[in-house]
Amino acid sequence: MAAASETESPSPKIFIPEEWAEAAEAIAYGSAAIPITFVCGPKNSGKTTFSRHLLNVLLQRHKKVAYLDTDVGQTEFTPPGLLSLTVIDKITPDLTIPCLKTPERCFFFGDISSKRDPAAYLAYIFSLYDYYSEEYCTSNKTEFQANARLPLVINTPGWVKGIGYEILVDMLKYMSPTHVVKIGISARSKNLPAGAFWLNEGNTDAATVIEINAALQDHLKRSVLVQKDSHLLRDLRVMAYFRQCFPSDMTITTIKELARALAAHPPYEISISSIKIKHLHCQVPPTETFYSLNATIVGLAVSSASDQWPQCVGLGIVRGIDTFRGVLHVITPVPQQTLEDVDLLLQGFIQIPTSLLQVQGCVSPYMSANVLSTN
Amino acid sequence: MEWLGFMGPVPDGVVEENSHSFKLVPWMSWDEWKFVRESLFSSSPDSVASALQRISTWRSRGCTAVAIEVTASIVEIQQKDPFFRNDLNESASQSEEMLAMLYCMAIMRLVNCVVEKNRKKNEISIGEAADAIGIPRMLIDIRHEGSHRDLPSLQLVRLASKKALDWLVSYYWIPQEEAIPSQNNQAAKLRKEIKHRLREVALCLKAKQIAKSSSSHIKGKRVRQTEHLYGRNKLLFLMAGKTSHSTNLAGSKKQLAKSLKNILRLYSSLSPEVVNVLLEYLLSALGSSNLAEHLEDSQIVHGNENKQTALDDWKSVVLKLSRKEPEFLLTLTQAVLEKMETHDANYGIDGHQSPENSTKTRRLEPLSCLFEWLTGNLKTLYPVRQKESAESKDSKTQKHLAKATVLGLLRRCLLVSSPGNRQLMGAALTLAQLTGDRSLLHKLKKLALLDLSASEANSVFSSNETTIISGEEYSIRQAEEKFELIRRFRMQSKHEKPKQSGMETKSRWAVAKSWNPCPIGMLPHAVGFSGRLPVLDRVDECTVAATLSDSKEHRQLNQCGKRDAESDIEEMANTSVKKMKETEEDHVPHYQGDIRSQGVKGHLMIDGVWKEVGEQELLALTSAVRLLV
Repeated sequence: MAAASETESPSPKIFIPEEWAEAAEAIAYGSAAIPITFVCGPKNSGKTTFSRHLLNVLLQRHKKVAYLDTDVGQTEFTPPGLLSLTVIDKITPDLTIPCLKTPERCFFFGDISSKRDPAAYLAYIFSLYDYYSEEYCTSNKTEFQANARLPLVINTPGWVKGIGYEILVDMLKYMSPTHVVKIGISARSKNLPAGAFWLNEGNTDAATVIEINAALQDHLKRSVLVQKDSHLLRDLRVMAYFRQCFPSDMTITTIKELARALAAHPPYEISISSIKIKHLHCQVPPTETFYSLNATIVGLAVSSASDQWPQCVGLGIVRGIDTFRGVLHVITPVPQQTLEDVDLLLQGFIQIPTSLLQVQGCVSPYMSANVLSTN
Repeated sequence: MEWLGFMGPVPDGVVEENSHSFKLVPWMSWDEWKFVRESLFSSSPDSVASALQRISTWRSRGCTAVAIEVTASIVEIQQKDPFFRNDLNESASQSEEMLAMLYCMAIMRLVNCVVEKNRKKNEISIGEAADAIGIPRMLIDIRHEGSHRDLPSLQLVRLASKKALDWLVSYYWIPQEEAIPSQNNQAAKLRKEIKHRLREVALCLKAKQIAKSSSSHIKGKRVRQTEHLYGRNKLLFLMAGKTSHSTNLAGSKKQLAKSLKNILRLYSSLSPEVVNVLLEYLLSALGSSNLAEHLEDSQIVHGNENKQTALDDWKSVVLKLSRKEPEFLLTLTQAVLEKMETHDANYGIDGHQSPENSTKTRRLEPLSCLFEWLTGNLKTLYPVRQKESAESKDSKTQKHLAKATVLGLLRRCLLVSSPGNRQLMGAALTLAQLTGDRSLLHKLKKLALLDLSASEANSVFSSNETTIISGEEYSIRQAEEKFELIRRFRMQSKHEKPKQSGMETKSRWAVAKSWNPCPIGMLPHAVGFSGRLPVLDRVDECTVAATLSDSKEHRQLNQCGKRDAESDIEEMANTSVKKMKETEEDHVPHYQGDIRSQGVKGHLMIDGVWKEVGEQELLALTSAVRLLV
């Protein structure tokens, strides 16, 4: 059943069918020395699971593998809202538990879906891909400057219709991967079109298209999709991210404890005059900036002259604004040394999990009772 | 690397969240919501513009109710329509085609969004579901026509926009406004609750005392039965308590523990109110005891001794609570100080204090006695600090008062005191002892001696001149003390600064040196966990650039320069900042059906009365302070 590598312990919840295992092997040990794999398919079809499995298989052959995460709503190694390129060097033993890593290069997109700004979304992704090409793909550097060439796995969101489809096509055309893995579910209308759908006719530069099916099927051969509460998963990820503010030996095992610890944690103070604030997807009048920022999650970014867009180093919670002293109070797990370069706060639509705002006796003013529930 | 797996009890967390009935909202207080409500529908274009600005800010937070957003859209379009606004000039207005499209889109959003979330798809059409809620038929028709056929005419959609606004007001704005608990009811209910709990505690302690003192073999009624009597008449209780066959000790202990738990729970979320109510009780007890002493009025129902015991009752309540809740005593002390400062502001501070002196001291006497007693208790509760060096960070085990807090208290105490006020002087000495700063203590002792000699001189010679002179000398001394304190502060921070700059260059991101837990979104109080609402208004960039640099100079303590003028101004700025009190808004999550207290921010003490101050006035005041330099 499970295609077990020597250190990947098969979890009972994860089922890796024969088809998947073969596909992964074909990619890893196939003709392309440095495979660039693009994984796509409808929602809940198993893309993430397949990608994780593929990573593990690739790591058996290569020392490190690069991972380009383009699913802003369900990020793999970062909190949601970030587009990142991460270099993995360790096999993930248990495919069910995701973990947080520091990406090599990262942009703060600021939303959980690309639909608010597809142009910016694509621009960031192309920039990440260019960076990958420069550093890990091309071999036109001198001997001791060149990094080893790394294979790349690209994960995509499950939005395969409408604007999402167009975005996928654009990505494929730009990146020209060596392998495209399309996962299909039994409800055929929800799948991506067959074959190399992104290529114009007569284009001979085709990638290897591998079409596999979703893992589980019921007796009527219908795909059984594992439904996930994505809102909850995102909240959990954000909480796991901010859990890193505290030393790992500190006992915080429940959400309530985390909320309490965050309320008591001394924040960083940054003076308002030394930081720029940018609202990414929404227009906010300059006199109202603080009303917009207070008690929200922001992206911490470093703007530099050489890069086109500011690099994101992590997330922070603006937990208070003291206009008399002219400081912002920010809670963030980013180490102080990295923080020194941060000069830009980006505000998007990443919601702070409401359970972090409710501490017994210490409830945030933004959590209110007596609110009418007329959606 | 971090693993997510440990967040085990996730489903519980989610379920609990739903049952709390708290929802995330984009406004900081219901006052903000009310401000938007009134401004949005007002006839002045400026207020409408400010309300629209605020709503666009809310939108950026991502959790605004769709009814609010739709209302804002329609109002915004109406503001661009010369039909609704007479003062629009030609160039600013849109063409009729544009306006019709805008209105049509807004109405479509209204019908779709308000209906969409509740409708089961494919069962009923949007039109039917909209009808069920009560959306006017005109709007439903316009939505249908706009999406499937031609654009409806401008006249029609203008009419529809008026109807839409009326409907929205009745569907969302009015019901929500009614759902907000009104402040008066809430506050009154809470006070009653707090009073009840405090009396319970006092009762239990009293009962315990009685039980201890009386012989143990007496059995009888339980305290609980006398509680009802107590509500009406204190004397009745005292008599009942003394004559009743008291409870057994165990019962009263349980009762005590339970009532203590109740009051502590209240305290943890509503500390200022609890402190205020307790203070009132204490003062009334003190006041009537003083009254009995000074006036020997036969009006007083209760005998002298009864009132004394009432005061002792409350004192024992305070002691008990302070043992359970570490910061309680400090909060109470600060509240007393604030009350004294209010008195000061009420009656003005005089330079020459000869005749005024005694009356002022008289007025402040109950408060001063209380303050002295409280500081005495503070001393016993917290051990004296031996070393002056930087604070250690162990929060749980450490029971030391932060030196800055004590110095702050001392400073305020000196500011409020006057020559004849021996209790405050005594309190100041106690506080100085608490800081562990010997030279400071020495100076204060000298001051106390001077004060003593001045008052002695007063009584012996009883000539105006000497009192004036000694009074002046006293006030000079006092000013010197205050100056010393500030200088000490600065020196200390300067000593720390070169140490820091020796090690590294000043970092932009610095961890806050001291932090009191407070809710996310609020700023911490010096004492307690309740936090205070921040003032978030921001002046436009160009005007702020000039004034910001000024205010920074005056507000930071680590500026060089020891001129008296600057220190005075600074002190004034500090006191004005301190006086800017913003009562917090706290939530009591599950407490007897969701009581909420409402905070009102933006109150400034002017002439002794808490007045509501708008942003403009605030800015004017702060700039006025700066002008003195």
